[in-house]
Amino acid sequence: MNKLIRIVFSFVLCMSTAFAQHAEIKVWNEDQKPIEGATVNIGNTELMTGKAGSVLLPDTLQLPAQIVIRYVGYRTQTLTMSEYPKQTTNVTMLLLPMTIDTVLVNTGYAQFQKHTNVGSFEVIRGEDILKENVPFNIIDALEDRVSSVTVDRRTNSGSLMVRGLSTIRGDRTPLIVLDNFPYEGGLENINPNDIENITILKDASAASIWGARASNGVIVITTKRGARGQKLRVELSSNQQLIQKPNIFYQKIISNKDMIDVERFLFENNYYTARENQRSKPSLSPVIELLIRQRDNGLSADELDNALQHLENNDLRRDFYDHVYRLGVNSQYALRIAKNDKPIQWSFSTGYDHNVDYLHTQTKRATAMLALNTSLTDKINIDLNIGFTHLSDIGGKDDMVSLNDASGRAANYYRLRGDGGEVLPVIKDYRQYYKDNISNPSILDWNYYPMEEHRWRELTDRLNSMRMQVGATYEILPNLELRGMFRYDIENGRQDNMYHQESYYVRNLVNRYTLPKPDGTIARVIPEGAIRNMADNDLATYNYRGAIHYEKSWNVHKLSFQSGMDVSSRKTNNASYVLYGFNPHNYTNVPIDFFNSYPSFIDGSLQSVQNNVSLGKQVRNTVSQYSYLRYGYDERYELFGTVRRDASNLFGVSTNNKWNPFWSIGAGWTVSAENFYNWNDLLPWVRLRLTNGIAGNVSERMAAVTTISYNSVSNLTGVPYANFSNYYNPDLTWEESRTLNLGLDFRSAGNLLEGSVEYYRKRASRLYGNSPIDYTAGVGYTVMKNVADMEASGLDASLKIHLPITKSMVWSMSVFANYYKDKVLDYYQTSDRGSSYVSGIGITAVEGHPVHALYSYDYRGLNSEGDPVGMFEGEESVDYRRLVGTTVKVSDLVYAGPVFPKWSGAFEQIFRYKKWALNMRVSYRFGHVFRRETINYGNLFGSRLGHADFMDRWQKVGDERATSVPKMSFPVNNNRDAFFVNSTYTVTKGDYIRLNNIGVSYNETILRNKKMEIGLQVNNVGLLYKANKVNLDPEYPNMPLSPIYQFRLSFQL
Amino acid sequence: MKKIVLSYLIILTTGLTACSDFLDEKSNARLTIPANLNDMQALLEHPTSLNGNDAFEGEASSDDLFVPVGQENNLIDVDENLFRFANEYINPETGNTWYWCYTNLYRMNTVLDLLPAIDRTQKNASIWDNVKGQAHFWRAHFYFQLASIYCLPYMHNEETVKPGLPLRENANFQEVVDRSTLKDTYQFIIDDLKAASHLLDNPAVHVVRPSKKATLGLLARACMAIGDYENMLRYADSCLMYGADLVDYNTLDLAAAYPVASYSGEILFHSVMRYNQLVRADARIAPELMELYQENDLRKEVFFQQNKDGFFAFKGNYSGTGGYFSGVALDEVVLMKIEGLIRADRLTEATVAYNNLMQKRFVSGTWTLVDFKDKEEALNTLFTERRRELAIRGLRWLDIRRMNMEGKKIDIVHRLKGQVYTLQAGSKRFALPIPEEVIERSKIKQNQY
Repeated sequence: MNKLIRIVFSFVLCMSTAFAQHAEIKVWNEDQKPIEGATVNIGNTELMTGKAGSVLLPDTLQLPAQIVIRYVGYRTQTLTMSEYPKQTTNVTMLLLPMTIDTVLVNTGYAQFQKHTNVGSFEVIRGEDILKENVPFNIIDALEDRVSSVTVDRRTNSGSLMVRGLSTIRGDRTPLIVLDNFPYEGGLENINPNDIENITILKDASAASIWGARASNGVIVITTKRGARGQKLRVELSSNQQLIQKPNIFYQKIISNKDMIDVERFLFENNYYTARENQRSKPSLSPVIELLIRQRDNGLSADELDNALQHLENNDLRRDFYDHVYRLGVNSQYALRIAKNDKPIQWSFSTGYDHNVDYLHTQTKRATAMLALNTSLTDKINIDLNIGFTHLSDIGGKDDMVSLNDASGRAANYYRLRGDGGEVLPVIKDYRQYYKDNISNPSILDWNYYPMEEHRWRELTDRLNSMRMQVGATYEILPNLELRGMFRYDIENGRQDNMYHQESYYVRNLVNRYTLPKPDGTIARVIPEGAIRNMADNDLATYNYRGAIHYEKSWNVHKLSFQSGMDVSSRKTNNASYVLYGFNPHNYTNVPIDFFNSYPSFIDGSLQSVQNNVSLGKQVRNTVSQYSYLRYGYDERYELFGTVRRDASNLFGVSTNNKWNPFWSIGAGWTVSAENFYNWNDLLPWVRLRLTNGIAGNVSERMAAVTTISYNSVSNLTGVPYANFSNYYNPDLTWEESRTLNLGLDFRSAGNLLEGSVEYYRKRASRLYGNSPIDYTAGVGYTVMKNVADMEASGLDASLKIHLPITKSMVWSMSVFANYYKDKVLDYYQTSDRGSSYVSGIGITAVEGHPVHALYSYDYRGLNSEGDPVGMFEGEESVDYRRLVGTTVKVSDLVYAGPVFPKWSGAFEQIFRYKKWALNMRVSYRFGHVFRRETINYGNLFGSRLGHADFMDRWQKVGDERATSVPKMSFPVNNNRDAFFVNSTYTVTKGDYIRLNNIGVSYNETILRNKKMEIGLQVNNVGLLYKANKVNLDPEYPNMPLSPIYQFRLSFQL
Repeated sequence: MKKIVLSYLIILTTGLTACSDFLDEKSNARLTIPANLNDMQALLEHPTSLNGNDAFEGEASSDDLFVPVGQENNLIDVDENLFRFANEYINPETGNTWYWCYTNLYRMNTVLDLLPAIDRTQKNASIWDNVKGQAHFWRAHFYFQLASIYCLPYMHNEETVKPGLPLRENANFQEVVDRSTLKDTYQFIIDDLKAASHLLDNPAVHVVRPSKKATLGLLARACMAIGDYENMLRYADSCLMYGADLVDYNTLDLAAAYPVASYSGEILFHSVMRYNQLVRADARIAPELMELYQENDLRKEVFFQQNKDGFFAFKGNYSGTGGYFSGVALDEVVLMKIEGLIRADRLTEATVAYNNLMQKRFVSGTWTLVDFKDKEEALNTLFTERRRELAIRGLRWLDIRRMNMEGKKIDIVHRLKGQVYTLQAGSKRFALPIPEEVIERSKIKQNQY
């Protein structure tokens, strides 16, 4: 098995049968089969081998003649003829080592083989993603599947990052390219089954070819095209997933008893008096209502205790888990047929998804895509691609957060159903006591029933999208092509939320706007009937590309050059409006007075009805010009260079300043092809590569004038009002980032081992950031400045092992590991106040430390009174005003570590035995910290946000030896809370190892040559290791991922 | 080959000239570069930012409100510091009075910077003048708000080195501006108001916009604040020339949640104090103030309501909502006129005006006519009347400041959590501490105590 890549360079001159005037060159592969379509260059003449793998040599040859023979995936052969051959010359082509799975890299501008690249890429095939976890949106599946891709989950939505940060303030999301053009639409419009492969471009050669938005990496998605083979190809798959109900019991919340005791304590200390006295009748919790009743002699002490005891026994989370949540079910079906009907290669695919989540929210997707490719003549090639998607989303039940209101979070002693299973109301917005005692008969039932509310509304979100793409190439001269490409994407989205008259939403509004008249009648400002909120969101994007492409190979040289221009325009239009008093049976609605103010039914304060009618329009136009040049010599050396500049319609920025320049250069060197290389037995293929490039970036903040943005129309004067959008800021200049990438690729003998190691360094200077300003200036608390220089560097390593144990048993493993670190080189922050650094959200740029890092107040435990002790000017202190005050600088804080992991990676193992395969993926993150939640007494009192740490609080002298949680302090001391919550006490190690999935699959051949595959997978299995002792999943400290059970069946017919 | 390269270059260059329009297209249809009078008006229109950001600190520091024992623990710490007359940390870190006033001042300076570039033609002259007048009015309004809170009391005839405000006169936010003298600060305010009074007209489109009479009323108030009573009378008089119809409180529906409707009646210019928990929810009306209201005084019921705890809370006055009115209303101008008349020894005229006002505040037929005989006595009556009529409008603070300058020696006593805090007449603490962040970032000098 070792000599797969040995060089068997041989050509044989046969001396028999002479006198043939036309000698032949016959090209063979290693299995002694003729190769059709190989190119043979003799001087300036280019010939192609026919069916028999041969070409006729011209009559005359300029001697000595150099003959170069090429064929994709094979090593180029060069022969020198010193005399005209008398007989057929046989040439055996040798497979290039990597052709076992020749990987094509698609940069969106060009395609080339990965083994000749100079830049930094990752490629993953669509079907490989689907095998493990079928996502609704393919991008969701990239984390832990591809090296260098991580997700920052500090915000709810989570943002994808390629190789960490390259900017401090700006957008960190990578550019998504779909079939050669940046894709502006929603990724959920793309059926994951239609994806051929995804290429991730990580270095400057990517950034400089894709421009401004590429410095965070580029994700190039290529959809499936027509089949090469002439046989009809049919792919069919079905995928079913079951998703467990969310584990809401994971959240560490205060016990009912403690919560009730706290409320009782607060009540006795007049905490709720102001609220009780407010004329707007804001809601009070059931406990407080009971306490008020008891105080006002409506309840005896025993009755109160009894009622509180009842409340204590409730369990809202259990109610939700048992009566509201359901098992999620995701179904996905896909069909694709493809054929090469010369001259048309075509492919048609369609897919249908139906997902139901734990709240009964239903999502449906239907997609259809047609791809055609045809050569009109041998010089003109046309490529056509049309895709349709329909998406719809129907809202489900109310989740626990819907129960939150101004009085705070839903306490766990709330209850959704009575003992007899009847649906119960839950406090909302106004005092229950007030609602229960309204005598006016015209007031509709004002209660909120969380388990019913969904029955009285129809929340739908529909989106239709179409994507049409045409590309043509025309060979105007040999080696020179004109390329044109056009794409038009449209999305029409409509959000249509109808709240029926029975819904709380409508009843509440109608009641609030009810005007009682002295004669006992009433008038309604908002009529009874449904309220229908509609919003249309339309997106239209067009892209044009025109380019010339030159490609020529001669002797050992290979040159390609492309230069072109991209123009794109993206327009979004949105419109929204509301219909009041809507009658769904006859489609009538009642006009409403939005202009005048009316006294509220509750407290008489004036209010006007929100009209919510608006139109909006956004436009983004971009123009870019680019060129690249690629030169290869003998498949040993490669040089690559790109230049680009682009501009977009930044409002208020002068045209000269709109252009961003980019360039990059790169080189590759296949060391193993050198004569001096003598490790062929061990590592027959070794390659080094290097790229370096610069990208600039401008911001709308560089406006040359002050700009304003119109807001809405004043109800009082009927005149629109405006706010400042940008302030003229002459000091701003460009951001600049430089990226260096060094790579080493290798492959061992027999392909047992294949891997690469890459080092990169991104150095960004003059980065935009918000710098605090004296707000006497009148332009806010911060202004945008070029505030920082930063450097990010890292190592990406990947290794694939493929180990056949016996003929029917193969073990393969693929590992990747990323090391990442960044640091701020310079930060021209005028304020270094500690208090703005402790949240861990946003930039905590301190020179020499990571851009996103956690800083904390130094926590020294509890004193004998149960108060947390900090350090102020070198001494222990409980003066919280000082401890979190303005004089505490960031240098006084304790640096706890980076927020993003230093080490991340994953490994995948597949064990194949005959038709069976067992797979498993494990991922890990190390070297970072996060801030966990703890008890914040201000939030506990003000919003019932009680953390279970409350149970461990200091309660009596001596407890300070056993606990670190401060005693409950009343009145609220926000500084004390801020100190404790942001102290070293809550810094938690983020390290973990996760078992992402485990599964088994079975392949069978059916009906002669047709393939069938059955797969069973469990996804989101759980953590194998975590460094923290508080039992939190560092990625998901609020709600862990629910396990998903997947069953997949696919056929290739 | 050459031809192709050439034609490609031609396409590229022609393409690029066309793209300058393409690149100038507005990225958002709502964006614009302010260039015409409509844009200027849009900057002067923001109802919450401009009309809802007056200072509440004066009200919180005066003696009309107190914090009942039950509410003491609800105070957030900056409010507690404010109420205790602390020398630091009385301003919340974000959204404080300093921030809002200067943010609004930037709007005005932008308008005043950009206006000269717009041609004033015969056709647009009245709008052009009106826009300019509004900007001057607002600028004076916010500087006056700031000066009343963050600067010491000042008398117009005083030779002083007391520090005033940083006077930002243009929209260049990078300009470093130090504190001016207090004399310059008030001169600036009065100059702006005078300019506005010449440019503005009556009536304004709506009372949320400044008008000529509102400007004259504010001018009278500014003159009053610095003890320039002659001009106070002059401007109050000019203001009243445009109408002096007081509302008879007997015509109000006392049972309504807010008996006085918004934007109507005596209101010349509508603005309210920024919402603050201390003055709005935590505090009650001082019993001393409630005791000042006599029997049959309708104002007791129009302005106040009794809470469950027995204390009186403020119901509302001229805002028509729960917001605390701090704009300009006719009753204040009338009271300034009466004061001016008394100080000018025109007691007969003062008597008429006073009785006229009071008849509209008492149950019909219950007001016993008063006759001013002694100047001092009349002034004392008037001061008490100001307290009653102008309660919770931020004006008590101005009155205490100026009366102490005249030697009245009014100490303000606040009680909180068993402690007594006194702001003594003449204390330097009558200038509240400037937000610490401002001091830190700008290096202007903090008020000294």
